[in-house]
Amino acid sequence: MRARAGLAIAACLLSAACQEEGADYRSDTGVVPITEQRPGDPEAGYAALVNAPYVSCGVPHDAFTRAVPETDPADLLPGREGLNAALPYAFTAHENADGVTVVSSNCLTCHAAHIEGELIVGLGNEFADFTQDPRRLVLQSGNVVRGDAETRAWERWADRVDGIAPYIQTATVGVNPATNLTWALMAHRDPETLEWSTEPLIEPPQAEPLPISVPPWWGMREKEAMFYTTIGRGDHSTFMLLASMLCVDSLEEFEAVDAYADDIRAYIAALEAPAYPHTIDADRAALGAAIYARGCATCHGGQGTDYPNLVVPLDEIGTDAAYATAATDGSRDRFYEWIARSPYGDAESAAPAPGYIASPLDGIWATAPYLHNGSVPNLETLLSPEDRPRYWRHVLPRAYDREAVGWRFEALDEGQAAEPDPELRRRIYDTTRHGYGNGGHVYGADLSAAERAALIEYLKTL
Amino acid sequence: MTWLARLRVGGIAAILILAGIGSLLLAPRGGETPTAPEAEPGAVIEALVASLDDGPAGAMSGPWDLALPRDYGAHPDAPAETWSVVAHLTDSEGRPLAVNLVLTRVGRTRGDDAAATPWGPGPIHIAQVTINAADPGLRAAEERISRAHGAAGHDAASGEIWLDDWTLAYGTDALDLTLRLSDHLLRLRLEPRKAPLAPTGEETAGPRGFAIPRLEVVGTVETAGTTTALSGTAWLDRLWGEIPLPGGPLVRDRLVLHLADGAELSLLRTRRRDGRGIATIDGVLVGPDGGATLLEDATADLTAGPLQEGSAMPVSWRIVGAGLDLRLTLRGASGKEDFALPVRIGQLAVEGTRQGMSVEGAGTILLSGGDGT
Repeated sequence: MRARAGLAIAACLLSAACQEEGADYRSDTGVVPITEQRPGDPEAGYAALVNAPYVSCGVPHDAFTRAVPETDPADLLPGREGLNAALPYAFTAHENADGVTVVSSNCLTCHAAHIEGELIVGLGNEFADFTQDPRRLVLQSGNVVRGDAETRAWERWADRVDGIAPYIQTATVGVNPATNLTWALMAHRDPETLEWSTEPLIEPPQAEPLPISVPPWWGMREKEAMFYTTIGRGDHSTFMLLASMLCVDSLEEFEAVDAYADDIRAYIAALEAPAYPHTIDADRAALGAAIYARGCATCHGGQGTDYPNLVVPLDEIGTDAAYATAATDGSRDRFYEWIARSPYGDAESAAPAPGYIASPLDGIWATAPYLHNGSVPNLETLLSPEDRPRYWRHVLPRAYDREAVGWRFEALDEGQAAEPDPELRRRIYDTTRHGYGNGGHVYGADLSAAERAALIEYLKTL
Repeated sequence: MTWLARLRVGGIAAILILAGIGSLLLAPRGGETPTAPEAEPGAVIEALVASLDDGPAGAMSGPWDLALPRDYGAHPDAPAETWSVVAHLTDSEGRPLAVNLVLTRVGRTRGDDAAATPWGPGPIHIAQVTINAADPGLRAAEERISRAHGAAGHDAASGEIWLDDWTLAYGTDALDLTLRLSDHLLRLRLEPRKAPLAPTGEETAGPRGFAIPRLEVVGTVETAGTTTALSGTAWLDRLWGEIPLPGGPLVRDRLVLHLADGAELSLLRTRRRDGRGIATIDGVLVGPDGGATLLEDATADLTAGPLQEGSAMPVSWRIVGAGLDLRLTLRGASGKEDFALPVRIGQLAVEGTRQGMSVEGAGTILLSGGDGT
C-alpha cells in the first residue's frame, strides 16, 4: 500500500502538472451541459464595463493624451463618466494608489469594433495588430511619460507587458492571441495569492500563439461554454475576469472586480446581434431559410431548433486542428490546474473537448472573417470551400462586401515566406502556417450557386 | 495595445528617431546608476521643466509639410523644440575634431507681452556644446541655461536663434554657427549636401521635425590669437512638438556616423532607466544617393566592447546589419560631461564594410544614461 502511494507521489512529481485529485481537465464532444448563471443587473454591468478599472495598470493619463491628443468622435461611447467620457471606447481612466491617473485598455479593445459606420459593442475586433513586439511599443510610449509617480505607474505596466510579450506576437494582423496571453499571465502569478512574479512560476506557453477570431459577445446569450474548445464552463462571471488579470496582484483586488462581474456578464448576455444594415431580398432569404433548416440548424440552432451547444469532433468538422489539439493534448494542463487552484474557476472551468463548438450564428453578417482562426474572409468563400484563398489580404482601406458578406480581399499567389517586406508580410493571411489553416467545415460545397446565394441572403437576417 | 499600434502606422518609426534625439538632449540622470533624486543635478532641470507644465494641449496634430528655411527657425507654438548639430571635422593637418551642439527650448512664452514680465514663467533655453579633439588644448565643454527674456530666443525676420552670444543663423543656402567656449571662438558654416529626411504630410500626434544627414562644414576655431581652419561634415536634427523631457522612464544612446563613401548612419538605442526590459534599436541609414533605410532591432545589431579604464564608456562598438559591418573605436579618453543633465560623448573612428566594400569614417556617440553596454 505504502509502495503504491509512493509510486503515486513519484508519478505526480514527474508529471508536468500535479493535478487535483479526480480532475482530468477534459470534456467529451457533444452537448455542453447547462449551468445556471448568477443573476446580475445589465445596466450596472454596462456602466462597470465602460467605467470601472478592472484592468488597473497602464499609461499615465498625461502621457496618453500627449500621444493621442484627440479622440475620434466615432470612438466615443455613451454612459461614460469623468475622464472616460472623452477617451476612445477601448480605454478607461482611473486614479491609482499613488494618485496618478492611469489609462488602461479595457475589454472593448477586443470586444468592440466598427462595421458599416457603426461602433458595435460586443463585436470582435478582427483588425487589431498583435504582430509587433509589444515591449517596443511600450518603450515608445515611455517617451511621453514624465514625473516620478507617473514613471512608477508606467514601469508597473511595462513589467507586466515584458512578462507576456514573448507569447503574444501573431503572424498576421487581425488574429488574436488572447489565449496564449492568458496562459502567459498565469505563468507569472501564484494561483492562490495572485502575486506577480517577474520570473515564471510554471512553464510559459509556446512562444508563437495559435490565432483565434474573437467571437461576438451576443453569442453568450445561448452559450454554455465561453470559448471554442468549451473552456469557460460553469460560472462565466468569475471566469471572464481572467481578462483583467494583467494587473490584479492580490485576492483583495480580485474580489473588488468580482463584485461587479455578475453585472457585466448580465450585460453581455443581454446583448443582441446588430441587424444587417442593408436591403435583404426577402424571397431569396426565404429559400435560404429552408436550406438552413436542412443543413445548418442541427449544429447552429435556429429555424425552430434551440441552440444545441454542440461540440463537433475534430475528425468531423475538419477545421484546423492545432488549437483544439493543443488544448487537449496535455500541453496546457498546467494552466487548467492553475485555474482550478485560483479564485477564477475550478476543475470544471477549463475542461476542453477535442473539437470545436458550433457557434450561434446571430449577426453572422458582421463577424467575418470566419472559422475559429479567422482564416476565411467572407461567407461566399466559407460556403465554397474550393474557392477559399490560400493566401489573402484585406483590400485597403478595408471594405465590406455586401455580396459575399464579409470582407473584400485580394488573393495572392505566394505566402508570407515569399514577401521580404515585413510591413507587407504581416498583412498576409497565410493559411499554410501552423494553426492558420482554412480547411474543413465543407458544408455548402454541394450547393448550387443559386442555393448558396439564397443561404447567404438568409444568413443576413440572423 | 491598439493605440500604440496606431501610432506606429502613423510613421512613428521616423518620428521616433527624432524624438529619441530630442530626449537625448534632455536626458535625465546621466551616470551609471540611478541615485537618490536629491543627489541628481538633473533634478533641478526636471523641476524647472515640470513647473512649465504646458500639459497635453501642447501636442501638435494635423498634417504638416517641411518648408525650409522656415523650419530651421523657431516654432514658438510648440511646447518644446531642439536644434542639434554633430560635426565631424579635421584641422588643416588632418587631425580630427568633433563638435556637438544641442540647443533646447522648453515651455512657451506666456501672455501677449512677454517683455512686461521678463522674470515671469517664460520658456527655458538649455544649450550644451562640446569640442572633442585629440589636442587637449582644443577640448572644451560648456552648458548654458537661460530663462531671462531676451537673453535667449529667436528672430524669424533675421533668421537667427541665440542663447547669449551663441548663435545659429539660417538662410536658404546655409546655416552659420558661432560659439564661444572659454578661450575658443568657433565659427562654422554648414551647407546641406543631402535632402532633408522628414516624415512629412502625415497626421501624427508625435513630434515634428527633420534631419539633414550631411552638411558640408567649413570654418575656424580661434584660440589665444591663433586661427585654425576646419572642414568636414555635420548632421543636423531639428525637432519640435511633444518631445520627451526630463523625468521619464527611459534612457537613450545615440550614434551618428559619417562614412567616407558618402553614407551616413544615425542609430538610437532606447532602454528603461530601471534596467529592466529590453533595449530597442531605431535608426536610419542614408546612402550616398540620399536614399534612406529605416533600421530596427531585426535589421541592425549594436554591441559594445569592453569599458574604458576608469569610465563607463565602452572603448569600442560593432554594428552589423543592413549591409553594414562596422567597428567603432573610441578616439582617446572620453568622460561624462559635467552638465546639469549629464551625458557621455565619445569621438569615434569607424572602419569596416558597407555593401561588402571597405569603408572608413568618423562618428560620435552620446550616452544619456547607464554604461552604454
